[in-house]
Amino acid sequence: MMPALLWIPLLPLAAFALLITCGRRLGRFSAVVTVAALAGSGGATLALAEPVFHGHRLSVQWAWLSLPAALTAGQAGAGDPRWALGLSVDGLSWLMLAVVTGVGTMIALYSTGYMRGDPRYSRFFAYLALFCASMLGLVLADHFLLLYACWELVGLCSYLLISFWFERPSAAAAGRKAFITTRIGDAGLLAGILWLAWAGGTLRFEEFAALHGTLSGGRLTAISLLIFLGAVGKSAQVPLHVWLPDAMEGPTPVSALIHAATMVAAGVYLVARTLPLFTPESLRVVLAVGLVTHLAAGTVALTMTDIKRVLAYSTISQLGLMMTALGLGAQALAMFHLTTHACFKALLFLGAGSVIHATHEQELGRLGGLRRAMPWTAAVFLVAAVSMSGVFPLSGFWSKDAILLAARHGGPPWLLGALLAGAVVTTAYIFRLYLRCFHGAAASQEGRASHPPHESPMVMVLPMAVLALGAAAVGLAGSPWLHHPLLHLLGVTEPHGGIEAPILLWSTVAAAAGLWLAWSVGVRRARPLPAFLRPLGTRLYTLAAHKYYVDEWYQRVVIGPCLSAARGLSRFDLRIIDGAVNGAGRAGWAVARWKERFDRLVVDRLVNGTAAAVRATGAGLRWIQTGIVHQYLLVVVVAVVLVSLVLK
Amino acid sequence: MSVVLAESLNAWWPEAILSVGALAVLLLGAWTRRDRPSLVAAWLTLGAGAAALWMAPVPPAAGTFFGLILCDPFSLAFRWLALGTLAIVLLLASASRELAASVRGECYGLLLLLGVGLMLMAEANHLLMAYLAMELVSLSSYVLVGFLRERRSAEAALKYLLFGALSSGVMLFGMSLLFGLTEALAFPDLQAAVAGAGGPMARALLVAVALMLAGLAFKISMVPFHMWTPDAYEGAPAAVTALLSVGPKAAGLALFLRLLEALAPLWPALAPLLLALTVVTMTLGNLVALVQTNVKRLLAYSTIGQVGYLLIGLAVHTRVGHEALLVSLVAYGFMNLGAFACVVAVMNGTGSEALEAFRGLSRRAPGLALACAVFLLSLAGIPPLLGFIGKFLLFGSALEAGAVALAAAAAVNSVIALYYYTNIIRLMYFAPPAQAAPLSPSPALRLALGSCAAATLALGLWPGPLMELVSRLAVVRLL
Repeated sequence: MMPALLWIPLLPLAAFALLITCGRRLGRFSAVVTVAALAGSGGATLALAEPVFHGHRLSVQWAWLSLPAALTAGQAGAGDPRWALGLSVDGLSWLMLAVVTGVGTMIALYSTGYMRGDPRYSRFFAYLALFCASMLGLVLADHFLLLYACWELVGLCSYLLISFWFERPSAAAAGRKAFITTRIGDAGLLAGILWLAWAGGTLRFEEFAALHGTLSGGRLTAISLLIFLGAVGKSAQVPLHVWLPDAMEGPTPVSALIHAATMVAAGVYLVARTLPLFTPESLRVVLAVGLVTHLAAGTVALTMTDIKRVLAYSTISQLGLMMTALGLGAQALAMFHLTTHACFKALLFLGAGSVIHATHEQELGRLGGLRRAMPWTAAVFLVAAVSMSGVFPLSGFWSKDAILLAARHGGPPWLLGALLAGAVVTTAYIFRLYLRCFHGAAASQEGRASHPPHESPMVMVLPMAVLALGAAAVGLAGSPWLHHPLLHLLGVTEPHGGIEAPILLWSTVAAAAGLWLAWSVGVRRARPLPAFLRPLGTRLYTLAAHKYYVDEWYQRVVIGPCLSAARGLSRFDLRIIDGAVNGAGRAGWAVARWKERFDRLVVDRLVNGTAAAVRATGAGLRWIQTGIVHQYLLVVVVAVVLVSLVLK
Repeated sequence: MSVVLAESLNAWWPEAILSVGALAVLLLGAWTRRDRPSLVAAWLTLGAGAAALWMAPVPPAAGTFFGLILCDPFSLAFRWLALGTLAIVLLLASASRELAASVRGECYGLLLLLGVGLMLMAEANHLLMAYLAMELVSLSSYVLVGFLRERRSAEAALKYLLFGALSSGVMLFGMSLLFGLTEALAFPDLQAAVAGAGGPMARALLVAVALMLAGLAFKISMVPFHMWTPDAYEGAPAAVTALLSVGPKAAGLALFLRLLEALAPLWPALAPLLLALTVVTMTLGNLVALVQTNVKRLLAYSTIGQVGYLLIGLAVHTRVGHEALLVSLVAYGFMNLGAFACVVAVMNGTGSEALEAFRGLSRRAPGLALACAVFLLSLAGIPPLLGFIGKFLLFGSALEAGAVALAAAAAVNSVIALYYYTNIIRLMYFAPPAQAAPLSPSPALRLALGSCAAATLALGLWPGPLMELVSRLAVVRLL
């Protein structure tokens, strides 16, 4: 009997294998395979809940290669001459498993409706299954090597799914951009892993805590920052955030699953998992990057006019908030917010997908008043928006308030202010989106007569409803009302008791301010700034609307010089290196050819000459072709003589 | 006397059964001219031989076989390897369409005889026995290579025969010199006699050894005694080529190991030569394989390259090296027999042995193409397949012995080899097929392909038991 642990990644992997080999024959049934596999993984995760909540750690080890002792002798820290890979579940990974399987199942179910009629229907579900399998492997890995392999696999799946509609040049370009940008982070991560293996001698997560004693602080800081670089790429933190908005070219369920709920959160998970390696110095960097990302992305989200791009920047901003929590050392709070965020952000994306499905439109300017045509979508979107704004007592409130509390007690005094400003921005952009999509006058009907907006089918509404429940209530699991079971799961023994009135008050004020901003500026187009500040406001707005010119800056400072350098190098290559390489290649080829001839062709020619003579002497001898063998035997004799001479 | 005889024969039932069975199969083949009865007889013989080997006492009583043969755990492993190779080759031979039904009985009989020779080579503890065993293998091989009724096959057999005759003559000359110098034929006596030698005596000994090793080098296709390999492999029926590429290599390396143990005092003088020839062997095999267009010829050069890797284990001459050699031999057996099973399947389906016949195989026979890809990737040494484990250990043993240059040369060779192995995979998966008709291997081929692929994959994923077994073998004294 295989342990339940193994079923969790293997079920989606089996689904992938099935779909990639005979997906075309399965047709519509391929969606069922994926949904069933993910639900099975979810069931297996639930089956593990009981021991995990009791604080047990479950693991499966697979000793792949046990080396002969002589090969490992003399290596630092190689006490165990085995290359073992393993999966293990503790509270941290269990929570992540629950998020991935739960949200994943719902989104796969939703996709059965969203992707209907797509020519590569089964291919989509195959990729989705592969993504889930590698994501679950990433979460379950107890060894950095396995985690890295899965890390690359989810990156690959992300690439495949972003450019799923590769007929569109923009989708293909976005996939490439995502892959290359995250690759920069991955290179850092790999360097960090190699350095860690070389200096620390272990890559097993459970042994990291002991490294503080053996490695110097400076080295640990460098290693942890390299690892953090991987997280910055994957979780789209400043300055490697540019790929995520473009990634919205992918199908919306993909955006919901990969680019909102799970894969981009892998960076947060990675830092949470390797937190023992982080020194106070590197934590300060994490905090700074997280905070800058939180605020900058939030302000950009205020100015975007494409629904999915607003949500993309919102995701970046919320990931920044999680990183901020990690920077405070509050690993449990970051994971708590990750969980609630997965629910409400996936729901927001699915709602946006529902709108796009119904109207084939994703520009805010051409949307409006959808509340009447799509009541269900409007309702769940509202729930998610309220939850994200941190309104008492929905999920978002509990997780965000916990971070605010931690900032108040554990951070510098200005941090709380910055986070509250972030909260105002968050509420403002999400309600601007909600109000302009679902309220107000219906958008002009030009060009839309062929398909009036309609509510999405049941198979799409149902998963949204389930996620809405999650967006409303999951946070209770980390609330003082239920005595913080979620935080206990994550190893926090003494969570802050109760709700602090000032924080509650401040966050409510922030939410209200955000709502007012969204209504007056975002919808009514009021101009609240006094006249003398308006030029400054306009300038700031332009700055944010151009995403702080990061893309342009990259174009000018990185991509442009790289391209011209590449062109120069290419010229150099063509003229000089190619000549040398081709020469070397030709030389190698020539050696091989020469040898070939020596074995066959040259000899054959000799033979042909001999054979002509032989042919003349008689047909009976023709088949012998003795010429070759003479040569061969000569080689043997010469070789024997030479070997004897050498040995003598 | 009679007690020793009885004890000896008791340990030697497997070989006896195989020999008698082989003769019976030969007779049966001549009698009926139909292949079914002789095939059944061959399988029965093989089964009985395996059962006898399973029950054979290890170790047998001391002093058996008058010192000619050593039935130790080391040879037991090689006897099993020979039987396993024989079983898969029987599957291939019975499934191959190259052989006419009327000559198959003879072919099965000769295969069994060759198997007896292989087992004897691994067991030989005496120069005479070693020579006889090698001749038994060689003579059966010559006939088997010329089994096809076409000019190419006969030509290959003749070349092989002439080349083999010369090598074996040189070897015999070396052996007689060795006997003249030491008055010893049994390996333990030889070791004792060689131990004290110095001065001109040592130099004379080295010449004798060099001459003798020529015969062994011929058997394992070591450069510069490899020249027969491509011609013989190309001309022989594919099933016979499969056997030739695995069986004599394994048995030859076993004998080589034992001989080196007997000649241990001379090792310092032999080591540099062996090291150089190892590098030359792998480099030449891999380089020439690059330009081949006939798949059997390509696999012949690939074999030379692989033998080069295997020789690393011998050349470093450490315990880890020997362990690595044994693991790699098992790996090489499975993946090379599997690769030849693919060749047989493709030849059955297309009648061609050109590389081009593999074009678009993934669309005509997805299972076959997948299995073939597994074998080729394993030959190239890609994890987590069994070939990787073998290569990893071999390269590791070279590094452990401080032979960094050797390890580097082997690594460069792996890169070169990757090209021609993956080229076949490219043809199978990314080139359009010449014809679209599906290609379906026969059940016997499926069995051979399946078992080889399963072993390559499973032992690659769980190498623990194999490595444990090998590490127990490697501590056993060879003499």
